[in-house]
Amino acid sequence: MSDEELGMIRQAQHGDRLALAQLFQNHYSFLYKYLLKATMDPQLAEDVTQDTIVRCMEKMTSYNGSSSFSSWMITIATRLYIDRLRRRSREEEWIRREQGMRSIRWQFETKGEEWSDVLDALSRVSSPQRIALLLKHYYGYSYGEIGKILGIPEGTAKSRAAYGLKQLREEMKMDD
Amino acid sequence: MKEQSSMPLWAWAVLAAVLMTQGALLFRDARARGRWHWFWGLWGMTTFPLPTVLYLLLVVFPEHRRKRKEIAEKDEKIRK
Amino acid sequence: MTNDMTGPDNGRKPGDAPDKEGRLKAEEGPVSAEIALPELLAGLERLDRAYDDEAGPPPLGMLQARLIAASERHRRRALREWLLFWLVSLFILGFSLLAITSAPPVYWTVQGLVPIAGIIAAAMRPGRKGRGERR
Repeated sequence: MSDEELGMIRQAQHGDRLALAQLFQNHYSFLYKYLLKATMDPQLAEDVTQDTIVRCMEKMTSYNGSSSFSSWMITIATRLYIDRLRRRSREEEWIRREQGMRSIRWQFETKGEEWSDVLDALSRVSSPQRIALLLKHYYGYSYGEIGKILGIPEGTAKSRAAYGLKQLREEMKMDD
Repeated sequence: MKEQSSMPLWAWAVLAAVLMTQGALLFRDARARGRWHWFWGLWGMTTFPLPTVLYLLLVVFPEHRRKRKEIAEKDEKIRK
Repeated sequence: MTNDMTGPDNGRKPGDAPDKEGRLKAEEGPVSAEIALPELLAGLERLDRAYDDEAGPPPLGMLQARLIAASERHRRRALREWLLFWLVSLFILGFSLLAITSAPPVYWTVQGLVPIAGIIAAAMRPGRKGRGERR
């Protein structure tokens, strides 16, 4: 973590709102992009991003620097997302998934970006596995760190990531 | 706390003040830590000093120890 | 300011730095690293690109206003809870003082049951919220 950021965190923890806002602004893109991949639903990613920022502000004093600030934000964001999932039924989730994928496809079209079937497959991987998969293979966290983020033992994190990858491959095969 | 109805009034007042202080402090601290603040706060209103002792033993001390361990781990990482 | 801090910790902390390809090959081995992962990473890069505009941070003033509104809400909620706590507390305090004087056995029974109930509740709900340290 840079000294500049560390200073900003200290200031924010002592109630400096401007430093706090600046800190969140710096990490906004990272947080949103993480949530976009974790949820595969732009609207939901946006909502959870807002919730996360508010929650991080509330818990600011309990941030102790034992993990990087962005890892800390990701941890909170992941918990909030999982909480939301819990309150949802299977059908609801399915409908949301379809909507999310439709809007992502549409975004790809308007941006002239080439569509990739792997995203379709990824959206069909169940959420806990998808998160573990992303944290491991996209973000490069260790299983211990993933366990801390998800609040699960290291072994569970490992099996989730492995299972997620397996699921992803099966979904991709089905697309072919 | 002994069951004595012969206790003078001021002793009751002191007891009530102690309980209120304990309950309020436990509630505030547990809320800041996000750990069952209603449980600790309300129980802290009913008896003394068991809630405080158990709170220190089960919440404050383990958290303190874990923090120290994390710092030690971090140092290790830096040293490497 | 367009400061896009991509990667956990802006890639500064060794343990957290995303070092995709390298780690992946080291740990996955030839069997599982097949086609899925590179394709996935490429797809995700594309997803990031497609949402670059959406991922842009809102202006500082807007963020600040949002934070102020949220902390105000939070403060009010905390105050309400605090008042409710005192209301309930006074009842409980009154009852327990009454119980010590008039029915000590009842009082001590309840005092014995509270920690037991707490332990049972903590055991039933393992994880973060447990009384004491569960992890």
